[in-house]
This record gives sequence, structure tokens and C-alpha cells, in this order.
Amino acid sequence: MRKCTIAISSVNHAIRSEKLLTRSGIGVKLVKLQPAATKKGCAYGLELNCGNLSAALSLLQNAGIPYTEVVR
Amino acid sequence: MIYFDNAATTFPKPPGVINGIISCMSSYCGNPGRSGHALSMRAAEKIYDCREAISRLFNVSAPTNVVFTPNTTYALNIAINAFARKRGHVLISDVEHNSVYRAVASLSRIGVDYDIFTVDPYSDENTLRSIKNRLRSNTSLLVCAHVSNVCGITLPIEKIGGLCKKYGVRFTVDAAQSAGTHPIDMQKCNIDALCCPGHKGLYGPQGTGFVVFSDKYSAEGAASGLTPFVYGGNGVNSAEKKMPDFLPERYEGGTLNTPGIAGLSEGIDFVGKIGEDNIFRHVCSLFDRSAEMLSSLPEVEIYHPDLKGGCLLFNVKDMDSDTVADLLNDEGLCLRGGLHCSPLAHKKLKTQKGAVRASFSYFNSPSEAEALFRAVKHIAKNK
Repeated sequence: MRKCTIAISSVNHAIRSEKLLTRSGIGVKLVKLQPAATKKGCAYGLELNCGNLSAALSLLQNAGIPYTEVVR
Repeated sequence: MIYFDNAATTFPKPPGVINGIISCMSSYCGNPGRSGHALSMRAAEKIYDCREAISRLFNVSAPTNVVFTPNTTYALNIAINAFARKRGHVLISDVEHNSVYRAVASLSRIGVDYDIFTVDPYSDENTLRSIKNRLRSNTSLLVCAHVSNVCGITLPIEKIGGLCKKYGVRFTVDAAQSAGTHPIDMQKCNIDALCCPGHKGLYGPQGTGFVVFSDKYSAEGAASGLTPFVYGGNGVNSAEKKMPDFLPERYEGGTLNTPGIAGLSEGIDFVGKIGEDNIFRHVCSLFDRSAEMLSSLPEVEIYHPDLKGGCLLFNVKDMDSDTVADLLNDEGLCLRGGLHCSPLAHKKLKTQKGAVRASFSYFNSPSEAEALFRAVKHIAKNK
């Protein structure tokens, strides 16, 4: 299964997102990203199956959680 | 020693608070939000757990709207500066602590004017009328205490919040003396920012406080209009020179007080288990007992003995309040004399020269209230 990573700059929003997605049945793994992985520098990432990506992004948007970008 | 200075900081702390701090310091105190290693992540999760507990306590949906600070004063400065607008107008009450009074007065540097409304502790209508009479077209912010830090004066924050909503005024509440004893629903009270200490009624350690922003600032970009207060690193968007435009990191520059916040989590848990109502009932019973006994002494004047709460204010006639506090200290009791950083409240009470404050916590007992009576009686009869 191909993995995608949602970059979230704040560890607090990353933890909030992890809890939200897990509660919604979407398995994710919270990781620290390399600074070069995103345009803005230091960030965390939520690794998940790419098949769940659009559902996950929709949940984050509805919750007002600011994510930086998707790193494939 | 018998400790009656709980309005300044509660003492002692519940054992769970001390254990929570020790556990953090000894087993997982990495720097939260900076790294991906296990200790940094565990510290971040512990802090997030505390944000969740606070958001539940004050009915805010987004735990990320909880901004940690070293104390309430810092929290109030963040909120006041966040909402202040150049050449705007601010309203404060006539019982405010200097953490509000000085912070608002300092806004004159950006052309902000302020007015002081009158709190009538016996008539919410009169208080609301005083606010309405001072509203201007450029009034952008109202800041007030929930409960006075010198006596039991309590402001009707739900009604004031309703008024602020009606007139489009942002509402900031100083809950330094009410968090942990008075249930506060930020949504119901239309509060934009709630500023609290961790080390008073929530029984956490000193060095902890927070401001909770309402849910309207949790949407993406919604915090971008809030003026930052401290600038620096927080592990977020490090390649950019601007502070993040979202909460909590817009206001959290520098390393957080992880051990303190771990202790605060335990303090909030303690309050949750005992119950805010039960704690308030307990301090009110101590207030009543103390007021009843002290009022039997003709040399003692009590201010607003009818307004129950955590603080009992009194003077011994013809004696300076700090002298009385010093003599009480000699008898093994910790109380505070002077102005309690609240010159406005003392002016209102006509105690500009100061007064002695006994402030109670869940850990005080009726026998300690009786010891206070005996000590004050001894001082009054031997002055």
C-alpha cells in the first residue's frame, strides 16, 4: 500500500489530527519530518495510506486544522 | 504555619501535583514540539493532554486554543494586546487588578483610551447600565475580573458577555480568582479570551497560567488578526521570520514549562474529582466562620462580609494592615496586607491605605479559622 504524509507544522495540531483521524477510523503514524521536506521548515507528519488521503484532508479541513502540504 | 494567602497562590498542593512534576522531571522531560524522539513526543503529548483538560473545563472545542503562559498577568497582556486596536477604546471595571489596569493603561502608546465602569455587587442591572453608559462607537474590548482578588465581589460575566455580543465588543475575562471554584462556560458567556492562573484555584505549580481563546479563533487563518506578543522559536515553520498565524504557537515562543504543565494537569484532575462546587462551598464555610468570629471584635472592621467567597478583607482599627500581617506572621499565620496589586478595588472599598486579606483553599480547616480569630483578637487587644 502506497504511503502519503500530511505535513503539519505544529506538534499540537499534529497530535490533535492524529486523535481526530484515529477516532474516525483512519490509521495514521505521527512522525517528525526533515526540515527540507516542507517549504516552511520544521514540521511533523501524519503517515497514512494514500487511499485514505482525501477523507483525511476533508476531516482536517472541517476541523479547521492547518496543515502545510501533502508529501507523497 | 497556617496558610491563608491562597488568593496569591494556593498552598499546599495536592500530592498528585508534586508527583506529576517529579515524574516529568525524572522520566520524560524532553523539549516538546522540537524533535521527533520519544522524550520530546511524550512531553508534547503530556502538554496536549493538559490543553484538552482545560478546553473541557471551559467548554471550548479546540484544545489548540489553549495558550500556556507563566501566569495570569502574562495571559492578560497577550489577550489585551491581541484585541487592542490603534485609537480604539477599552472598558475595564473598578475592581481590576493591576494586571488589567496597567496593561490597558499602557495602550495609550498606540492611542487607546479607556474608561472604568462601576460594579454594583448588589445589582447586575446597575453594573450593565454603567457599561452601556460608557460604550463608544470605537469600543473594541471589555476586560474584567470574574471575581475580585480582595473580597467577594463577583461580576455577572454571562450578562456582560451578552452585552458585548450585542454591541460587537470583544470580551476578555480575568479568572485569576474564579478558575477552579466557579464553573465558566466560555460559549455561554460569549468570552473571547479567558485568562487563568495554573497555581491558584487549579492547584498547579507557580510558573503556570494560560489564556484560552474562543472557538471563533480556531479556524484556519482566524488568529492571523491577533497581534503577536512574544517572538521567537517554537519548532513551527522555522524557515519563516513571522510567528505562525494559528494558535497556540502564535503566542508560544520559547520552551514551555513542561514540568509545571504536568503538575497543572494533576491539579485540574484534583479539582475535577473534588468538584468546583464542593471546593467553593468549603471556602465559603471558612469565610462565614471567620467573618462571624471576627465581627464579634469591636476593633475589627470587615469589608463586605455579606459577599461570600475565597477572600475575607478586614482591618484592625488604628493599625496599619502590613503591621497586622507581620504580627499574624509572628503568631504563625500567613496573610497579606497592603493593596494586593488592586488600587482600584481598594479605592472602591475606601481602603486606600490597605487592608488584611485572609484567602482560603480546600486545604484549610475550621480549626485554622478559629486560630485566625484568636490571633487577631490577641493583636487587637494588645495594640
